[in-house]
Amino acid sequence: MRRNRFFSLIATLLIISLVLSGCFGNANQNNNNAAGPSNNNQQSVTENTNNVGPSDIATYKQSPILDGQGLPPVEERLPVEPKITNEMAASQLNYEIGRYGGKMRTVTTSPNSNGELFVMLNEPLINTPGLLGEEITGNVVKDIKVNADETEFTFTMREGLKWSDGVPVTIEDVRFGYEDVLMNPELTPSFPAKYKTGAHADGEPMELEIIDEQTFKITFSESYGGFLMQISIQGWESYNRLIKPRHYLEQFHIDYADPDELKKLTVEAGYEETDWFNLFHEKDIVGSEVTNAASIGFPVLNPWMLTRVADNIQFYERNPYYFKVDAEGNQLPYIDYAESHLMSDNEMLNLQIISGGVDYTRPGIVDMALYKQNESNGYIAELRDQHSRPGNIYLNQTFEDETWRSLAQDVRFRQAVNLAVNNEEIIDAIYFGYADLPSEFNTSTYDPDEANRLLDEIGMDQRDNEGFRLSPDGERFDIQFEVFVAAEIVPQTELIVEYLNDLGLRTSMRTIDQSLWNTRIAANEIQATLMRMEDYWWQGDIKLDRWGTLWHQYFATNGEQGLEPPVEVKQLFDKAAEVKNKSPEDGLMAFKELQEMVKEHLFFIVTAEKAQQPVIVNENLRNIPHDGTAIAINFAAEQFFYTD
Amino acid sequence: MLRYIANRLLQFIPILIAITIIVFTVIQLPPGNYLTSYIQQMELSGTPLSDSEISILERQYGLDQPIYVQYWKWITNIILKGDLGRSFQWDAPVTEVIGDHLAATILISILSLIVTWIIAIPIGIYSAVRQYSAFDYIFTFIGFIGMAMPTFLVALVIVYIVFDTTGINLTGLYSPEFQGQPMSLAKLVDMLPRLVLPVLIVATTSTAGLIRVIRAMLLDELRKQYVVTARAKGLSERKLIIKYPVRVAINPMISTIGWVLPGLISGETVVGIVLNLPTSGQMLMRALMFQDMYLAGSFLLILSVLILIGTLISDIALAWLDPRIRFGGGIK
Repeated sequence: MRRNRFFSLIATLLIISLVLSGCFGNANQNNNNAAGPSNNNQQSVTENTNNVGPSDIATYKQSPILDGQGLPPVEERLPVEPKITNEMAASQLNYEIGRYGGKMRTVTTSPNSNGELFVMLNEPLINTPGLLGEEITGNVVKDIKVNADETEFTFTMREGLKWSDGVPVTIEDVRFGYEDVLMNPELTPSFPAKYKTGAHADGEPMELEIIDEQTFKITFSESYGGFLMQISIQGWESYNRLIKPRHYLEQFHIDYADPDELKKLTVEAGYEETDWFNLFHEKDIVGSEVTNAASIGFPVLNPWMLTRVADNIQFYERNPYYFKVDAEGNQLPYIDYAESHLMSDNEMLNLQIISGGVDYTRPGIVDMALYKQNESNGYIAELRDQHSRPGNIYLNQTFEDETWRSLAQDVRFRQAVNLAVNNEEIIDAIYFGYADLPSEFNTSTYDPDEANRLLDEIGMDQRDNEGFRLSPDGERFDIQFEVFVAAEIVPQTELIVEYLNDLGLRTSMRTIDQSLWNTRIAANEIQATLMRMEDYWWQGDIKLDRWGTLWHQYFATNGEQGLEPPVEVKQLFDKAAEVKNKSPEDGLMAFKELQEMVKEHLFFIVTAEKAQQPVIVNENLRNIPHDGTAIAINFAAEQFFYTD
Repeated sequence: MLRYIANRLLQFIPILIAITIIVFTVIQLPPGNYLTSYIQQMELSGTPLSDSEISILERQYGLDQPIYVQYWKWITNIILKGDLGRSFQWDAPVTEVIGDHLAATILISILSLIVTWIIAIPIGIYSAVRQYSAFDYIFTFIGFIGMAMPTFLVALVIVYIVFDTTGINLTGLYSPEFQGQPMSLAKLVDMLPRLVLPVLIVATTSTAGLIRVIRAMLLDELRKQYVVTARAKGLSERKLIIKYPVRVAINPMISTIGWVLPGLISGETVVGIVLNLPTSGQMLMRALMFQDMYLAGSFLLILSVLILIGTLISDIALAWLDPRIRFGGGIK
């Protein structure tokens, strides 16, 4: 016991010191082991943290429910070097070694999926603790090395890694995923953008080369440092985009299955006889499909796997071949079972929460008072960063109205709108004070007088007999906001409309259906709207389709359709591509430059930042990070455990 | 009689064809389709789909074909193979989804119906016989309130009161120990107390209407000559009321009994939603909201068939019950 404690203490200290040194001294690590014959100077991006653990762990332990199940011993089920869990940055969580047992109940309002659980289950090839993008470590793969040009990425697999049905994961699974799925034109009609150079839609697809039994290399035609963020977190990236269970999926692939048998299965599933690829995609569980009923029986590498569905409840059990352990050698996850309960209605979801029937969820902030009131029923309600800017104002500068266009494209008009928005009032009224004043992309100054002056300056000083401003040509001028019902968008739009009316701009709003909103945005039919925007810097998102639809079309069709954008928009677009393209440190810098550009031109107007959302947690759950975004907590679910 | 029935059955076919076309078209009317709302949902929940995934899904769902092709495939599958299609949302055959929800729905509907009759008929008779008495006013008053209050409001209020006072969460059909377990006697017994609430709520709102109808019909009858004659001839009050006027008074009930059949399987939608019961009303609402066209279309088709059959049954039942119709007289 003492020896274990001693070693685990040493291990933790080593891990922490390595993490700290790694953050600041990447260039000094691992200049050896160039995996490919060509490029030298391969630098390992992943930290050495994982190499410390296994040699220090005396024995591995497993959950008691797995004893006596006839499974191989835990040492044989784990890879030779299991991953030592590091889902959160050390500053965000005081990690406690946990105990086994318990059941985690979550809720969902979709009949066949659970977004909450999906993130909990998800495992990328490499991960970034806390989803911060500050550090990259191996996850499903043991190690990744990048060459100096950032064109070659060499992955080292985890020897001894096994699927949830006990079959070993081999390099053949990678070959199958690349050669037989990604490079098969029937299965992949359009190659995923993130595996193309620079994550550009018209970039060159990657080339994957098998080096040996444990190594493969991905090559791009140009420098693409952003690949690391793209495969560690962007779009909730999952290992199963590249590593697929060959032993299970071969029977559905035209190159390996018996043709008649495959035809029969295809038709049985309701597809045309020749459309074997539709059946393949149905059977291949990728991304969020792990929470669909179809994933029962599919080999996975996730901490829990779906085993059955009954009474509108999904039942998950632990994966006996899961590859992660804690610093003391306990195989994760600590919690044995998980459940997803289908709720018919938001009010019922609330009732389930306040009666203590949910162990973890992240509801909306509107009913926070209700959650706090009932905390005696066995849960804790806390606020965490929602990782979004909940309501950005988008004025469509390419809307089909000449007067509007000339005004919306005038930066002084947008500045006036920005000055007219009372951010403090919005934050207090809509988010109960639980959000920050915008500062990243625009200023939060509230100065209606200056706004009025600016509008007078651009020629809108004439008013009609109702007191509303006329356009510079002396015509009636209207602004119409169109939004759909989501979170707090509608009440926030009402406030914005009020502010603009006070400025003398005749503004109104319309609430339309979600699909209709999508259609109208794409058709350039919306003049102004309000919508949320995620706030992870590595997204490189500028939402051009909402404030410059025809310019977005121009980029998307390579100039064939749409309108040619002005210079500053082109620069912004290129800068956003840089954010996705470059390695994490450079990408972050590019993001800061992007922020300056938006501050100068006010392409879109942020009304609040870092809005918070409640996180409902069973009061007996531990290893809940005290810091960080709400969704990052989901990512760390394999570390949760129950005390008594 | 047989010819009459055969005639009616033949009339079903054009009606059903028209219904299926209308239902299918209306479901497709909102812009987009299941796939577009699915994509939008994924984006809103923070897991946007890449363009590559979208193109794969478009192929898989086959939603890019023109509407009449989809309609034709759906109808031919139903008629030739008995295959109602596949639900996009539940990712399962429509027959399975509907079947899973049917048991609970029918159980609640039948129990509500029985409770409604048990409560409403005696009260209606009493109200009519002792017209303008204190009880008549009281029952009428309660009845009107029951009719006026929305069912979901009653359900929500009761659920909240129970939770506030006892801390028990009354929603859902099974308590946590039995959730997900195979059906057994113990599970059934556990379920029964939880059925009381939805049955009572549904029953209270429909008893009011029934009470008023019976009361009105009975009042009409009790004024008639034959009642006076029977009384004069010495028939006991109870026998004379039950055997003759009541039989006439439940005429309207029989004529609407046909609609009980579809009502059985569609159940009370709002109560099902509010109380989180796995009923088919809830399932249908979700299907319509997300344009899960095969599920919604097939379910509505089944409902329409049941309405037609039910109407036929009630016409036959009425003819059998009321000799005046058989002899061509009609109600004066």
